[in-house]
Amino acid sequence: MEYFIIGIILVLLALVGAPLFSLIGALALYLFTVSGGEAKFVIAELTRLADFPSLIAIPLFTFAGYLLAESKAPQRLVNLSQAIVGSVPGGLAVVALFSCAIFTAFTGASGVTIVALGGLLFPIMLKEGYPEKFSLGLLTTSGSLGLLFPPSLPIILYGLVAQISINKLFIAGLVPGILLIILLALYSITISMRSKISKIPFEWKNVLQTIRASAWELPLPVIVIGGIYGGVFTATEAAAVTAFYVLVVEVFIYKDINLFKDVPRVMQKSMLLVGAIFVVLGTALGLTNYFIDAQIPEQLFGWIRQFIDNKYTFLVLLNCVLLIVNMIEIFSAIIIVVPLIIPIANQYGVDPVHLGIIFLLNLEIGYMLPPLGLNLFIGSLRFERPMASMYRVTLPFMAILLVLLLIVTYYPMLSLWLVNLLGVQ
Amino acid sequence: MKYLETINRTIHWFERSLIVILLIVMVTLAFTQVILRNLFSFGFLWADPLLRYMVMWVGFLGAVIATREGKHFGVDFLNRYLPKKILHGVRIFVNTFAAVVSCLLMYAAFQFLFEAIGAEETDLFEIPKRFYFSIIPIGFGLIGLQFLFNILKDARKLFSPDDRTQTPEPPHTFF
Amino acid sequence: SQQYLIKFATVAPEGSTWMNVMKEYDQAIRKESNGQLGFRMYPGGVQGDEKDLLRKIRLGQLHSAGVTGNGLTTVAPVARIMDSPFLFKSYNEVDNIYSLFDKDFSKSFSDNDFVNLGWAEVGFVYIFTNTPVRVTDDLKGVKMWMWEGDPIAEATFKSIGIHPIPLSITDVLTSLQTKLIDGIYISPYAAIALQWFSRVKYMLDLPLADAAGAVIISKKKFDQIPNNLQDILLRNGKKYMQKLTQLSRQENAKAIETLKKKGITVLSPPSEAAISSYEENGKKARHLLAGKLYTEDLLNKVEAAVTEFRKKNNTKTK
Ligand code: NA
Ligand code: NA
Repeated sequence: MEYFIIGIILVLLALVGAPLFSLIGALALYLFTVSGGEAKFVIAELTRLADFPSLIAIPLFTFAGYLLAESKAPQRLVNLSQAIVGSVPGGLAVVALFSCAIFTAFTGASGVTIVALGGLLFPIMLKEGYPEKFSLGLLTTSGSLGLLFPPSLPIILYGLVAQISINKLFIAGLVPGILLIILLALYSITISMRSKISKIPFEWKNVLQTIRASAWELPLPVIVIGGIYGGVFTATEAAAVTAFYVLVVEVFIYKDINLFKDVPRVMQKSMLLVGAIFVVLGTALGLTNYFIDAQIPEQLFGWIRQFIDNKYTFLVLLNCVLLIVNMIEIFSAIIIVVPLIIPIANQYGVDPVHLGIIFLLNLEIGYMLPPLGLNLFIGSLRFERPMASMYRVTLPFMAILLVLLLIVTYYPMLSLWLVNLLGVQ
Repeated sequence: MKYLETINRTIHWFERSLIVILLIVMVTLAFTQVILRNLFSFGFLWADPLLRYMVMWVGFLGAVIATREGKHFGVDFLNRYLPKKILHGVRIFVNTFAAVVSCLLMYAAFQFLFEAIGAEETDLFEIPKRFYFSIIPIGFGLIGLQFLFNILKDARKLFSPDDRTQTPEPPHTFF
Repeated sequence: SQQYLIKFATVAPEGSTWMNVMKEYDQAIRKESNGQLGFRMYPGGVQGDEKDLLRKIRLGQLHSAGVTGNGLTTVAPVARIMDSPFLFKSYNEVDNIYSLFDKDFSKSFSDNDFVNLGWAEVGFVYIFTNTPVRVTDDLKGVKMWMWEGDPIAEATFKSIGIHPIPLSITDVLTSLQTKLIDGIYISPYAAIALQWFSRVKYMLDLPLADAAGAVIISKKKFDQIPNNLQDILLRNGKKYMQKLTQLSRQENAKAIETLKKKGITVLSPPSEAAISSYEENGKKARHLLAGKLYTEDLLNKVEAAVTEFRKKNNTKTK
């Protein structure tokens, strides 16, 4: 009864906007105290953050992502891809998919893709004759596309919380991530064929010009993504290179960003996000420690086992639970749920890397799931459309994502074969 | 009221400067480390652990700023449908709750620091471990303090007859 | 119902020999105490690494832990004499010293508010490298890892004339990959379990040290347990940890064969003189540490005991 009341109070507090970290912190403090422990136990796990090898990747990538979003890099990226594939049917839609995927991977899926790239692409798509609903849906969906590619922040966060190799996750996400883009591209091309779309004539001059314009930014994905897949860089090293490179290029070469006027502001803004993640991470580690201490995963497993005896039924149930959890809050979902799920999934023989990809795909869907998906909010604000219409336009895209989720869930090899093939550690 | 604002602004100035300094050092040091490792097969041994401590510092300082700007992760689903006056009241209530939790966490962190980590334990450059971890109680303390400032701000709006302030943005939009 | 629940944590994973024997130990004490006494176990590092476990014991969240040399440095510094480099040549010598100096070690635990429930040895650790190492001079160019904050490893490698690179366990594999280090020391069994073997080529077939380990309990918790139950806990601890030690020794021997099959080249020191050179350096390192972890006097006694045991055994076999 007492737990029930506490639960109700916390949910009410959450609904009126209490910061999540304060709710998690309160719950951890409460649970430890009533079970005969002490408040100080909550902090012990937080200090373990200082031992996580890839911790540094989080602020560095976030900073680099914010710098890119504030610069004119999105404009240059759009110009370039338009010059290359603008003449193909559905070309612009495919351009949007690819550039958003790359941009999201680098900016950590914090909503900046919709704001920076979506805002640019939306008027162009309308001008070229793409249906409004389709364009809105595509750009809102694309705001979290690229979550499965390096150096995406959610992957790093998952690896950190699950304590598995981030490089392994990066490799595992490659095939499902590409497959997702192909599926979405096929759908986009189909829609484009049905609508009357004006084409941009292909001209070598344009291509060369746009390449020259973005000559300094083009090597970045090659260096970072290639470096990680080639085994040259660890995630941490890739983060260091990206942050330094972006800072130098945008400030000293393109001069899009002023060293004294803009950089401190961008630093503050990006560390605000890191801080928001950090306190949730810190308190959630404390809460997780209570769960571990009270052996909740074991009890949960014992309870679930009465109803579910095979891996695949478990995975379906897991997907349902994750979709609901992700609706609440995305980053926090990873941080709180992963440590609980991993030991249970382990008992059912689910590979933690495979589980990671399932989790990240769920996350990607969670970004656009009504009523609370983050992309829906940002899309509604950025494109100035009511929330209700955002629900409708994203439906077909969500269907595609759900199909892929099913495939990824039932074919572990889709995620794992490249990892095994390359023998990544 | 006025001197409170001065205190608030001074603290904020320090936080911001510290974030900028820390991040500049982090970017430079991490990059230098990559160059040294890959081109010269060499590295500063203290660099990785130092960088991780710096992430903790920058993280907590960032969280203080997130508090100041009301941008912590949260749901706030109901708030969209509340009238402005009631919203300020609700926010005072919610911020009080968050302030109390932050202070409890600060207390817990102090306890941890003094009981689990020995005064004689040192880490990089022979600096006490307690110093490196001191940002945990300090951070939670500053966050709690910032919630207090937020409460005062909302209280003033609640009781001011002419409220022309904007409805706050949803808290988890990061742009 | 259970009155005395001991919360125990270790980094050893579920299903490992370590945990299997711990479970037998738990079964035994539950049975003998009619369910009054028992462990609640947290394996697989879910409560953190050894440093975290000791912090949690100090806070009172945990009561007991399985630790190796890294944790023993603060729990029972004197016992770290057992981790001395090139001190032992066979496990019989090791067992002899444990039984002869039991009192000294127990006092060290007690001085730091801990009780030793039983020695659970990790076993002989060997040097693994990426360039062939036979004599001490071969080590000069090696970028050798040392476990962060381990005074013994530091002294050992410094006496050989190299500057080891201190890293935490979690950073070792990545650092081998980024070539920040190209030499490690570890037990053959752990080299396989942690996948470290996949990034090295050679193993020097000369035990660097016999890595100690123990199951410890905080004195505070131990003193809350009635005497008759304390006796059950200690007696079974000794029995099952001895069993664990025997099993670890067998597994380490098997692991060397596995490593050979997996492509690790095992090198031997070419001559008696080469071995002596290692031993000289080991002796130098041991004496460097005297006064820090243990007294010069105790070290001399241990060294004398080893020499005597060796002499006696050699005459027996001859
Ligand atoms: Na590292
Ligand atoms: Na880790």
